[in-house]
Amino acid sequence: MNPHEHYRELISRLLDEDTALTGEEQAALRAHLAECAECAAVYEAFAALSDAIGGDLAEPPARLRENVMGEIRREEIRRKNRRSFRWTGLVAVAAALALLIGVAPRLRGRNAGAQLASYAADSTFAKEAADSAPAEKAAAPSSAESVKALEAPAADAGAAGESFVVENSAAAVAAESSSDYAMAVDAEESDEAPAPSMAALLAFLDGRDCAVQLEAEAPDYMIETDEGALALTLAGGKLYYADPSSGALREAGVGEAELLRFLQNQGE
Amino acid sequence: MTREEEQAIVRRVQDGDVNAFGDLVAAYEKNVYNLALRMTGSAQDAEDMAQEAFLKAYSSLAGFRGESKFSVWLYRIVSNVCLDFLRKKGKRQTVSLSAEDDDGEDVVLDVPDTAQSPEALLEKKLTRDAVRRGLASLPEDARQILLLREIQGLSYEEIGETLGLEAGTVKSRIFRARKKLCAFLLDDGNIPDSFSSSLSRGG
Repeated sequence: MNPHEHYRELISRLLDEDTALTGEEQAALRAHLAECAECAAVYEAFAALSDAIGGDLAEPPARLRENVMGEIRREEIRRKNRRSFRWTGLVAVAAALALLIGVAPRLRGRNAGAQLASYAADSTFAKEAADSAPAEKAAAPSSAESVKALEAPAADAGAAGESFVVENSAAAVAAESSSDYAMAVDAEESDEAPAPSMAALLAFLDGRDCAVQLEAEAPDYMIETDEGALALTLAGGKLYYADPSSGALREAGVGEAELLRFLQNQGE
Repeated sequence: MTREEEQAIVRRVQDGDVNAFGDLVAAYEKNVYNLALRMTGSAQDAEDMAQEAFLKAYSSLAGFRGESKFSVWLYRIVSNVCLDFLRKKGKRQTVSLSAEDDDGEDVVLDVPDTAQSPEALLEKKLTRDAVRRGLASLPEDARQILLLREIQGLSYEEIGETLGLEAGTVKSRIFRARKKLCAFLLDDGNIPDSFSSSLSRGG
């Protein structure tokens, strides 16, 4: 190795105003640069690089800030327009049935997050997990319990530590009957809050490419957005979904608990 | 903007003052845009990445606790947005670093520096063009770390925070990136003599 390599690394650090560079090191370096033409040349070269890279910064177009703020304001207006949305008994039963049968609950609007959180927080719900589903997944409580849980607003959405998603083994018949309820639910909801935006949901999910192969199982979550429903599957503790535009499988960069908080926040 | 002012603005946004976010955008848009520009090599992509990064920052702002500087947090978002974009695009090595206007014509990025002689200006431009090509030739990680230092002006510690690296690792990677860049420029031959002789003497 070039004996001057050590000095050259110091040059790099000197130009970066490295606070860890001691006074003695700096003095030694400057002394060396005064007598070593090669290292002095490296100093000039590195300094010229800095100038060239950082030198002329381009002005961003004015529309950058306009577009950002415009999009943010639009999103805030969408959020403010969501009205209060109470889960009625009918909706609660529908959702509970959906869980009992093992179909992913369709979540919309303001209380989606609250509903999810209350599912998780309900320990009866978690205890009954073992019966109808694999050990690591929770199943639905009795319908009476779930109705209670639903009608009480979730005090703490952060309690979503337990997995309460059902592995879908729904029979077609079961899906049929629950879809009747779902239709009633939709009619109920039709004059209620608009769904979260797909763009905001995708941005939040922070998906990345993944090479995982998922078995063709029905999704654990179906989240209604303004551009259709997004299906998510929980596997190995991570959330997966299909990118709506490319169809490619993406692994979410956020976990289930954060997803619940996000949905909770949508309603605020 | 001082750190206190910045934290105050962040708190206002977190409390619901949407317009306050505009102040943060104004303060950082130039650096964010230029980081994206040097990473992606295209003005249009840079605009898209900058916009995406700001929107992401806004929607995750609830989770920002002020433990790190807002700038560091923001640049992490920008870096990730750009890296994801580059990986998707599959552009690993050669990214053109001239800007493109709407017709796809190359646009020179330099801001004219009127305080110097024509020769000096030309030299400067040659160096800058060559350096930009050199940046494009670097692997993305090397490019990113050098840009965070040179454009964003982040300290070694801040870069370490942004990228999840030790300061020592940051220092040596920046040093290696500079050396690679110098090697490229020597090879490239398209640089002013004075610079070239610096490089070859130092080699």
